[in-house]
Amino acid sequence: MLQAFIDKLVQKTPPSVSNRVSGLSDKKLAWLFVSPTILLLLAVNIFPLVWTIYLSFTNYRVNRPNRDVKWVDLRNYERILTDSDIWQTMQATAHFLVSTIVLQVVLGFTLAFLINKKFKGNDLLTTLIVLPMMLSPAVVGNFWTFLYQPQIGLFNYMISFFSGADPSSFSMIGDVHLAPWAIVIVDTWMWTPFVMLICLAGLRSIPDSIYEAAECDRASQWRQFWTITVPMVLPFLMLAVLFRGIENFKMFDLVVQLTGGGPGSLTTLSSIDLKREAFEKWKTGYSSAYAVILFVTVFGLASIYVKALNKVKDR
Amino acid sequence: MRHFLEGLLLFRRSPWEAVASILIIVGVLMLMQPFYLVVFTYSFSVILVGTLMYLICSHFRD
Repeated sequence: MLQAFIDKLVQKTPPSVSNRVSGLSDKKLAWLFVSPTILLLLAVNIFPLVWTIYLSFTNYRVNRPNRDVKWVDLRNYERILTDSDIWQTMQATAHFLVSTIVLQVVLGFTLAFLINKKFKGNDLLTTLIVLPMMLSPAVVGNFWTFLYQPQIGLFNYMISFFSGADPSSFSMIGDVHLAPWAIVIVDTWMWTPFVMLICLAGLRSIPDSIYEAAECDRASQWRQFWTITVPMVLPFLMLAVLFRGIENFKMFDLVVQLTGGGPGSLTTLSSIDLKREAFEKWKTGYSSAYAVILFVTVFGLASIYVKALNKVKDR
Repeated sequence: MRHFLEGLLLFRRSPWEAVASILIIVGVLMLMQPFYLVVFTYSFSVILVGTLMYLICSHFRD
């Protein structure tokens, strides 16, 4: 069937075209096949990046397209890097990033380690644990606002059940000390299963023969854990940290739905602030500079991280 | 240490990558620290220099 189709296609191809293609070298043919992808990448990735860098040096506002665009040199960068509000936003982002990654790695690895043991209902439990990851962040943000309600929220009820405190005496979303942790808890609840799955893949890739050899050498469980399990799962763990780090650096939907960046601007992460500058205040040039700063930061960190990951893999 | 300095002088990849990595990490710490605004102001310059250095020196010989 396929051969017949190919034969038909060959017959239908005009001689001028077939002669031209058959005369191409392997290298030229490779370029011919790769060029659509390269063109698409240039249009979708490279051009917007270069355009954003250009706009970051101008005072362009997208809501005033007829206004003269002035070249402002490094003024946008200067304004961003001397703005104490943006500084605070970066601190909020750092708090969110570090807390979520630490919690997710510790809990994810622990869960993977426990799930890796053979017991009845193992598969069902894995499915149940993975469920939060499959939900939409907007939905998760919405229902956690109900869970965090001081009067009727299940979260406050649970805390009061264990601590004896009045459930309406604290508000996770409204309190300045608790709000940053409220978003950390929700993100950890949602994305720990992802880290767990990656760690589980790492744990299941360790051959049993290594543990058997360690048993023959009378290595204790503790020693086996530190000298076999941890080093062999480390590349997977680092991959999980890279994915979660980049994702959380641009976290937007969950936090907007949960706290809207409040109370005040306490949980306003850099991506939320960037969106406000670009699409609420319409400061396109300024927000382009902001985006470039975030891009260079993530790019720099990702470069180091990928290098470290390769080093661990080569070990 | 001597090996590292020699590598720097001979434009070898590993030591230059190490310097660039340190610059990026220091820059990110400067960007997100809660103590001094002036340190935050210069953070992007440090990250940018580190990232560009990293991109360039990753093409050096081992």
